[in-house]
Amino acid sequence: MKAIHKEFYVDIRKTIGRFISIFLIVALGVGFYAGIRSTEPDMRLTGDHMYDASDLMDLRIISTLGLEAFDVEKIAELDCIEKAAGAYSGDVIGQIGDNEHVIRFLSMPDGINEVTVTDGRKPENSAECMLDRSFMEQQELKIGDKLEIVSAGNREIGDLLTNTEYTVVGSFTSTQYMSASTKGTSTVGDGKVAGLAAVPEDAFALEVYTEIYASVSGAKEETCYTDAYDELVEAAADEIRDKVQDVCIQARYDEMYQAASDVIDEIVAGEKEVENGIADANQVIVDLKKQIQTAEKGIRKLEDGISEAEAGKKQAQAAIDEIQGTVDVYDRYIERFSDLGYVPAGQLTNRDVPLEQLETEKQQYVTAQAPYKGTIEQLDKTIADCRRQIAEIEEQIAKAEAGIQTANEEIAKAEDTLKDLQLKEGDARAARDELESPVWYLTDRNSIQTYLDYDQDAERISRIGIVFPVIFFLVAMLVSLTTMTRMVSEQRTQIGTLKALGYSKFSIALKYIRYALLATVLGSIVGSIIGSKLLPVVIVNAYHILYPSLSHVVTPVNLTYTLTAMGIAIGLVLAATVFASYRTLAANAAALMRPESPKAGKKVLLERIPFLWNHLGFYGKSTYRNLVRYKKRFFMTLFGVSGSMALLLVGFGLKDSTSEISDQQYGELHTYNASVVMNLSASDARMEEARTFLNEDNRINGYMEMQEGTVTASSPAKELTVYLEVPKESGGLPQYIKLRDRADKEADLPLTDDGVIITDKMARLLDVQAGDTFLLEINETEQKELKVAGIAENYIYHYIYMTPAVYEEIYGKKPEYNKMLLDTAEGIEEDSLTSDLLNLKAVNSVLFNSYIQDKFQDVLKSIDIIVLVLLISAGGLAFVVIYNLNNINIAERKRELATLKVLGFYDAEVTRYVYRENILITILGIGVGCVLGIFLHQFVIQTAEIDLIRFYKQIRGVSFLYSALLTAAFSIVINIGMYFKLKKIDLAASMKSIE
Amino acid sequence: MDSNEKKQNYKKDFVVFQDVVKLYGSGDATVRAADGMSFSIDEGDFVVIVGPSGAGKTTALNILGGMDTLTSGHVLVDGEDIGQYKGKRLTQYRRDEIGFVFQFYNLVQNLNALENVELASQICKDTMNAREVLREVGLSDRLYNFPAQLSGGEQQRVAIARALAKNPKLLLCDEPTGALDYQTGKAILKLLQDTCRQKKITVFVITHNSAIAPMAHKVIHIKNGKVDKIKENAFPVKADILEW
Ligand SMILES: Nc1ncnc2c1ncn2[C@@H]1O[C@H](COP(=O)(O)OP(=O)(O)O)[C@@H](O)[C@H]1O
Ligand SMILES: [Mg+2]
Repeated sequence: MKAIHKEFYVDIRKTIGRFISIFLIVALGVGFYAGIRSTEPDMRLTGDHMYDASDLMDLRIISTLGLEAFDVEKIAELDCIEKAAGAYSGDVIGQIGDNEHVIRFLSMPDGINEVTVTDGRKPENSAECMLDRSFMEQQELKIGDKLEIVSAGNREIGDLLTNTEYTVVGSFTSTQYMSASTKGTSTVGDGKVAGLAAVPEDAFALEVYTEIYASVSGAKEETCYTDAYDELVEAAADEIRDKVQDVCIQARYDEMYQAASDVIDEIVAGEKEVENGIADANQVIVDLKKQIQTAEKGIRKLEDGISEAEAGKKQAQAAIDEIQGTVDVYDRYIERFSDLGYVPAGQLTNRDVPLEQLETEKQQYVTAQAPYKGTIEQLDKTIADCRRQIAEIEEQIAKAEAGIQTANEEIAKAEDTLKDLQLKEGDARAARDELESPVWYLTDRNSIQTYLDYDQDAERISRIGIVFPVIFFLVAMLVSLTTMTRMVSEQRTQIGTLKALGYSKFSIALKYIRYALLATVLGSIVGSIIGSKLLPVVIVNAYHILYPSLSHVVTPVNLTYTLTAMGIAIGLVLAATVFASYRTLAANAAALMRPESPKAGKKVLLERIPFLWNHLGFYGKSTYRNLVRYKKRFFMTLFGVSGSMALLLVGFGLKDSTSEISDQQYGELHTYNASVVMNLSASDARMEEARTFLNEDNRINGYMEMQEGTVTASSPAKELTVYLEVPKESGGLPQYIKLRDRADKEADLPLTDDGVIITDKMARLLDVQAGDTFLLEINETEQKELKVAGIAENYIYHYIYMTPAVYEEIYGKKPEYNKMLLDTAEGIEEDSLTSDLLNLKAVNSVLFNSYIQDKFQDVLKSIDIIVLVLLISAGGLAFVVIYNLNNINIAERKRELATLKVLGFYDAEVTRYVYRENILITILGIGVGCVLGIFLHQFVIQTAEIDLIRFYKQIRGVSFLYSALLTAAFSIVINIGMYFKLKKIDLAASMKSIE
Repeated sequence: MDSNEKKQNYKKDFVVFQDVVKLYGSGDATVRAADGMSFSIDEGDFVVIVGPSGAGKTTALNILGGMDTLTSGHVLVDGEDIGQYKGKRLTQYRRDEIGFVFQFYNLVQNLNALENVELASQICKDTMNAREVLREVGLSDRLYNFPAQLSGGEQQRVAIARALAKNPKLLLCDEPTGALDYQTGKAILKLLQDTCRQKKITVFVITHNSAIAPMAHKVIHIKNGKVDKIKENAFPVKADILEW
């Protein structure tokens, strides 16, 4: 045994090339397997470390009515909650320099969702902020820049933020927003959050928290993405739902109800006041009217007085006039008889009457008139007095009447006010009646898009890690098989000697087994260490492009994967070794001592076709015969080269398939350029305004209204969340969405009332065909059967298309068109159109398909890394097999090659003679690799594919070309290296012995 | 055929070794495989080289055949100092002027007899027809057999045919009968001697068997890397009447 033992190491030294071949291929297989497989747990672990370090929330609570300190307290009180904190956030349009961006403002709650300051410092007052690092890098901003708030969308800036200008004092990263390109959608600006601003709480002017973040007790100890973690968080969420949610909601409702009631009370009080006013005014009117009446009575009395006085005056005048008559008679007599100075008798009396007497008598009469005249004068005075009094009273009446007028006016006004208040009261009551309890939304980390994406990326990598090592392991087996066959046949005589000396078959075999085992174990160890240390780091680092805040990579050597891979490798290599040696070992010593009869040349099939055969030179003939003769080697090399080709093809193909997804989806199928989500509660006028805009703006060629919603579709095979699309007019659909059969791309599938059209992947997952039915969930209790009228080509998400008539039949109501698909003109500025659209009150959000396509470019970058890894592995694979083939060929055919040299073949000719074979195998390998690659690609795609996406299955022509060229290049490079080995063949030595 | 008559038409001193030294290895391990060999051979000679194992016979033949380079000295073939040749020039010399026959035939297992011969002839300009040569070595009905289907003697005939097809100036045979039985060996020697006589080819045959010596025009005895003695036979014996 000692001798064998010593010889063992000599053997390894002598055949180091072969030893390295086995070592390398095993290292490659195991490294690839262990490395890629551990990338998934490593990525998760890395994510977990990162999330834990930043105290990323486990739960997030938002409410339709905002949240209050009370809610935070209630949640924090739960045992299952380690910490809860209220936080504010809100989107604004901010201006930095000349550029406007949509900025999401975030408060920085203590001990949860901690941001990492990457530069500068945290803001210290409400006029300072930090911006996220990727935004600062993208926009080339620096500390000290000023951020000015331009708008806060539908609300006043002051309702959201206390300041309108912020000084940038630092940059940060956040595990809640890991993606550099996707920070969320927004209802302001162009609808896409460009940057994040972290500010102190007092920078917000909001009265209620916008969200509550909570960390679950014990969740940190679990690794996220695991079931254990998910269950823990789910349990905590349930507890919040069961124990806190209703209390808080009720409290909030009561509070809101009270507030509404207060408002009503206030209005009612107002109404009372107005009503009192009216009553007072009415009283005033009544009083005034009474006053007028009294006054009028006074007037009447006075007028009576006047007429009485007039009558008195008349009487007095009459008395005066009567007396005057007598006076006149006296005057007449006096006048007539003035000459006489007496009145002759007879005239009056029978005596003469002196005039003097007459005069005296007359005077008596005149005097008698005087009292009457006094009476008249007295009465005139009375009349004038009455008149004055009447005027006075009339003035009073006018004043009173004016007062009434004013009062009436006041009443009218007050009645208006009252009516107003009553309306308001009605509104307030209605509002109170309509008051709904707030709705809470409890979400976990799965609501963070990057958290999900990251997990999916990890999973994708892992699935690919299952597929590829198969190739390496198979090639490893073939390499060991050929290598060990060669070893055993080289040491034939030695084996014979040992046997003759009495060594057992097993103890001789042990040498080869040990040889193979040592190479395999060493390869496994080195491979798994390098693989699981390096690959995850490379891959995770590559994801930096997508997740800039991704940092510390945790890469423990994953024993399970390492041991699995090692086990597989050892098993395969040992099997190959035993297979390679058992026949020789079984032969008896004497037979082994004789030289092995050289393998006979044999006629190959091609020789039966003399026409072709005769056209082949010796190189060709020998090559063909060699290929047939050394089948193991042929298959090893063929498999290796075709594996290399296939790997490259898969790599490039993956890239093709991924890029084609968005190209096909948005270039061929969803040909609309943008979708606009409408605000259904907007008024008709606002809707009309939006339609007018869409009709008239020349950047828009056309638009189509439709209803979009998410629904649950199911079949016995699967339950899926899918989009339900109800275009208003299915006739216009092809301008926006092409529904076509995958097999017949020219023919549009007509959308009719006969059934619905569903997308292909959905059909596959539900396992339904055209003509079959599936179930659509109408509400929580009701499902309806839908008939599949056609299956449409589609790549991203799942869709059900139905006509409004079908919709109405199923849901019993008309569809509400909440979405507009736009066909926009070429070369427009999407940002400005987006802002213009968002300015419309009826528009909620706008999404350009180009944005989704951009997002896909990020995914492509991560595929690039996979391509690189595959490229390196493919190179390694090609290297090992071609190196091994050449190595064995040169060793085994040394004499043949030396013979050629002795015959006078130039080095180039000898090389050509040998390489013919390699070239042919390379070409064959490329051919076989194409087929293998296509299948492998399909397989990888089907494995790596996520439910929501259907990969494009075709590989582009150039990818075949690149793969073939690269494979050929690998082959050429290795063969050039071997040329020098060929050149060094020692002629004399080679010819001397019989091996 | 008279050897004197022959010698008038053939070049004298066709092959000349002058103080040929070949060292293998270096330092303490240096082996003087050829230690100042000198001899001269005329064109068309049938030369037998004998000597104990390890004496330097193969070394001398390999140097002559351009398979190995010398350390010092000169080897003139038809006036050219082929000892100075290197690389491609050396290969070309092998290609155009030398035919080799080895103890272990060294046929390409993948090619049949005819192809093995054609393999050699295709690279030379002035070649003989492969079928013709094979007929001459008595293998006209084994043209399409692979080496493994031929006996040792037949294989050696193919090897000789392959060497002859190139129409070489020198035919160098290193123990061509070493692996053959007596009768077969004799037949091969006869073939070589006949070839030498009929084709103006200078033939060198290394052998352990000094009984073959009478066949040769010249017998070179080599010992310890030196030419021990050279014996000339005025009348070489024909191989078929030779007994050993
Ligand atoms: N490639 C070599 N390296 C070292 N020594 C060699 C080599 N070839 C031959 N020798 C040595 O040179 C000497 C002459 O060898 P060789 O010419 O083969 O003898 P032989 O007369 O038996 O043909 C021997 O001692 C041999 O061991
Ligand atoms: Mg020898």
